[in-house]
Amino acid sequence: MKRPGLLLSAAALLSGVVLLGAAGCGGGGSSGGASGGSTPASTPHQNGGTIKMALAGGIDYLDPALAYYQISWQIEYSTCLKLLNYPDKTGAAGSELVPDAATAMPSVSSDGLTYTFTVKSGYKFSPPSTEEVTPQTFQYAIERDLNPKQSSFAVPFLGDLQGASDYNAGKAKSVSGIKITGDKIAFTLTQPDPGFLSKIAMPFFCAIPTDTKIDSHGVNGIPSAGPYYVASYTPNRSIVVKKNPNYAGSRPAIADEFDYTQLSIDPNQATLSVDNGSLDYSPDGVAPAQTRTLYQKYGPNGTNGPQRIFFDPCLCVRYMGLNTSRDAFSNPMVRQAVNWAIDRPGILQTMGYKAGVPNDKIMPPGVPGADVEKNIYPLDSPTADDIAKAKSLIQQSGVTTPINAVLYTCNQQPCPDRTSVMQANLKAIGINVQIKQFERATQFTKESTKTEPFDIADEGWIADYPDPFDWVNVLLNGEHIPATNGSNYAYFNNPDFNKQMDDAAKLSGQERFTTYGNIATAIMQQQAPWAAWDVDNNIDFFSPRIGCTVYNPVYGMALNTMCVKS
Amino acid sequence: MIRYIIRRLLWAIVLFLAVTIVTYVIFYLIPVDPARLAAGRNPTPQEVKNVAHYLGTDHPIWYQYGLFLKRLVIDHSLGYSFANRQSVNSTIFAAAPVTISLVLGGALLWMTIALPVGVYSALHPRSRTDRFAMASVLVGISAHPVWIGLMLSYIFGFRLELFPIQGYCNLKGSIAGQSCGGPADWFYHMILPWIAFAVLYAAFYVRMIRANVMETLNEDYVRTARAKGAPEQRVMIQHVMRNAMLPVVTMLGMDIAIALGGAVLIESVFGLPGLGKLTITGISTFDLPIIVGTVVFASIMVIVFNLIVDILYAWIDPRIRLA
Repeated sequence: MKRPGLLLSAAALLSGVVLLGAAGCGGGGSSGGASGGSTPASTPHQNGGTIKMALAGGIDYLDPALAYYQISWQIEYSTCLKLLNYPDKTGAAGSELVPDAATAMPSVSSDGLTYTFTVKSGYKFSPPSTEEVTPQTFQYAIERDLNPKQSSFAVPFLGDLQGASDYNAGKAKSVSGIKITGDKIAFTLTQPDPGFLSKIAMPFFCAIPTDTKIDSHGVNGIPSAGPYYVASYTPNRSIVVKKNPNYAGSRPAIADEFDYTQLSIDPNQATLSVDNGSLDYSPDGVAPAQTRTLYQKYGPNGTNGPQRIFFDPCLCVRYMGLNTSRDAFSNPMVRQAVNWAIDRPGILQTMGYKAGVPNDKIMPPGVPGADVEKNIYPLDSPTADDIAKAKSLIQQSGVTTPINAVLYTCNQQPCPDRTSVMQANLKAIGINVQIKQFERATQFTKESTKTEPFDIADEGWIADYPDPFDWVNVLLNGEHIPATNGSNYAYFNNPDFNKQMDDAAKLSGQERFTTYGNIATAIMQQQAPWAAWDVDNNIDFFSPRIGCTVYNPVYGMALNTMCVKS
Repeated sequence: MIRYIIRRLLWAIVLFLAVTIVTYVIFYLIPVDPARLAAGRNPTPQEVKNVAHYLGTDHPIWYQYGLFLKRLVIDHSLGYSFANRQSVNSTIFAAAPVTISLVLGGALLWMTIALPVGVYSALHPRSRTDRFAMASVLVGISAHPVWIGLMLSYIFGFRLELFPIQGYCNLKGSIAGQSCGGPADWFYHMILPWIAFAVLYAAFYVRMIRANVMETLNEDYVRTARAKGAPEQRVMIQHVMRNAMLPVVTMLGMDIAIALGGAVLIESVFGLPGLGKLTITGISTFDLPIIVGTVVFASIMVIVFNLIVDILYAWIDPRIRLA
């Protein structure tokens, strides 16, 4: 438009609307009976039907080698056939790997380096491909990911695969660590990595036909071997996902088709459209300001009929990263004091009604080991005793108050609101916080620069895969903090814990998860490099005709189980 | 005339270079690494370097700009999006018709409202109709287009279900995944966006036309024409309107040209996948090729429409000679 002032005032108006909506949301940050994300599969429904959807934030790619958005992965959860996958279940069961294209969980060599899978026969790709899924299929998918011309984001996750580096550098014609014998495919690693199974279950390693071309721009409409396939994709406009007539597996596939009619819908409009039934579902399009009204109307005890809105914890955490490399938070007792003093429900309230659940742990529910990690700090608003304890910790630390600290946050709501609450909380214990706001991308570029002069990073993390390594080691192991582009925003580098993390990474099974849970507890208890405060809720709102929903903790609402009610 | 056009086109090239250089410089000054953003959620530093090399952002800014110009002139390509690696040419060519639909339809609507209302008000000043029109103008200027759009969508779309709440249908026919398409669906889906887009402009243009017509009515040549016995219709069309419309034509051309760069607010409210939405997405993801692509398109629109307006101006007013 011609007059720039209107843009600014529009931004202010929209911000005001969000603020008003957030301010109008009263207490009750807990999920209280609205979680689970499942309606009985015995819901009377028709087999078939078309489900109309829309996205607010678009997708990045539909090529498995490149797709990295959570929404893209939600689609791929219904289209992909992988060696291992997460079952169409909710809760803890939904984050336990089960065989998919493999006949069983792999056999692992005694040195922990070689994983051997047997690939089931009978799987075929969707039309127009006539190819069958074989071990060569998975070899091709992995080598395509590692091909330097593909420029795939999967490369870092295969760092331990023997021969992967040489192949990626163009020094080898194939990946030496992949061996095929009959119906078996074996992967040999350069060092033990019990997290390998979680990594190989990522959507990057979907089965794809062996004639899929290498194209760094991505290939749209690659045939799939899962319950569904992407029948068409018009970038920025629409996606059509259809039932795969050639699917031979046991995962449900109820609806015939999912039509993503729009990829850039406004969340307010998406919510209205789903409310009146002109859309069935918008995975990322529920307006925070409308959540309370929707809960009252369509929650578990809603006034307008059966439940249509669901709140389920995501595999993510929000936290204040306390920069341990600078004076303000170099002392662990000061960091512990922060954890006692912050008002987690109060901060959460700025995010909107039922936006999340107060949390003080490193790992969110759904990550194996999260149930072992203990709560240490208050999840309710701090009491006078909590504040007194915080002050006492600072006194014992020997650090003189006031402590001056610089906090980096983003410049869009609710960042300014929530950091204002943090600022007020910390002022009460003698920490003066100066808030600096940035464009989100600028914020984390600065925070991941080692010499950047900040003390608190207003951050969050969403899992690449549900293994504790992706939380504890990636975010808190200080052995290899790079000068730029790191993820350890607390710059936490404790040699003792580094060693514990390295040792835990070599463990497998329940021992691995229990050890990580204990390490996470000890880190937060003794060192507290973070003040974690929230696990966000995924908020899913459906039209009245949709049922049979199942929330998988790793990928969100499973498309393949959704049905149209009869 | 030909020499004038050639000179204007040469100036357009200079303007184009200036605008694109400024865009690159601004982008370069922002402390964000686009390679980091494009490299996924948890890239290693080596991965970021690889992506930077792939995107070409590991070269100096002047080299990147030179590459952009070379690609544009020789390959006629605006490059590939950093965020989704789609061709910027095809992305813009897909989004442009949506914005053109909105802007041209909205312009037609606002002129359809503004012209008769403005002229009537000028001919009947301080009448009841004139006062009602001016009150409506005040409301139209004061109410924010986003608010108007949301209200229209909520009342007529959600509550009364007379129109779609949001969305766009292709004029030529439906695309896969959309159940609507064709001229009728396209028109039906554009009604509320056109109204929301047109309200503000209609208000401004009513005032402008009213003021211009009232001023022109007082000119000597109008009085002379009437004194000579010219029919009132001839006086109005040949003398009053022809002169009063000159500034309106100029403003119309400018407003359409700038709006074609992206009617951001209306596109956002109604979920129209046009250039405005594309620009916003490009800015939020620091997608330089998309940002530059939309800037290039907007610049071309401004240049072309300014040229058209100047030529039209000379045609309408014989006193103007394009030097």
